[in-house]
Amino acid sequence: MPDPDFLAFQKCFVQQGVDPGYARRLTCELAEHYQDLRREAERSGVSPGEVAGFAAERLGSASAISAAIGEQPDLRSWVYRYPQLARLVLPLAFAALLPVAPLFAGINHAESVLRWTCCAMLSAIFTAVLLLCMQLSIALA
Amino acid sequence: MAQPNPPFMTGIPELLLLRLLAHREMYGYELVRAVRLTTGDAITLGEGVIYPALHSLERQGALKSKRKEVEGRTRVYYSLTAKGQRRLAQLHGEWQRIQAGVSAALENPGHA
Repeated sequence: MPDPDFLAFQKCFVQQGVDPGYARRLTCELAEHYQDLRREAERSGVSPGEVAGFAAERLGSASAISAAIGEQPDLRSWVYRYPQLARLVLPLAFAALLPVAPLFAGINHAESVLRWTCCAMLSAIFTAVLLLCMQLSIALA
Repeated sequence: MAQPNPPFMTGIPELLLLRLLAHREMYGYELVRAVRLTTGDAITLGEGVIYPALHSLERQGALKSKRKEVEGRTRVYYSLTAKGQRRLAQLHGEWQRIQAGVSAALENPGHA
């Protein structure tokens, strides 16, 4: 049996409304605990092929741990703890951020924005030259 | 093999964790083993589910944690705070009151 996928554990916790920072910490501690369980199994003579299964069973599944988190509401992110407040605050926050969103997008994707600007300028110059040529041909005709 | 815990376990893991951590600081795996040993396997806590309980107690200020490097591994040790001591005293008192009440009812059911 392979070792548990702790990244999948972390994703499962976040999907259950756990704060991502806390989900990382919890996953790290579970991974350490799992290593202790593996050592215990090896010391107690569990066959090498069954060590991972023994440790994973003792540790518990991601869904069982998620259920335990569900019993501790203070471990969930504020959006899940105060949904009515979140429904009020989040749209306002996003509305406030909307005007500056292009700025943030520009900073995060500066290279793409620069490339797009250069292309737009080149096409504008090309169009201007084309129009000028047409104008000249009409004027000189 | 240990028997499953009965359905009236609410609050008992918290009491046990606080009591064990009042004695000395421990990390998660050590705590699970300590619960098994001290209760003679009468109570077995799910090994992974102990962490949400510990972290919740920490958020409430009853526990504090610190990371330590031990044999090349990072362990998170938990210890009791002053608030945790008060919580332990409160839970211990409640437990003794309930235990006495249930024992009395079981021994003398005809007094009702």
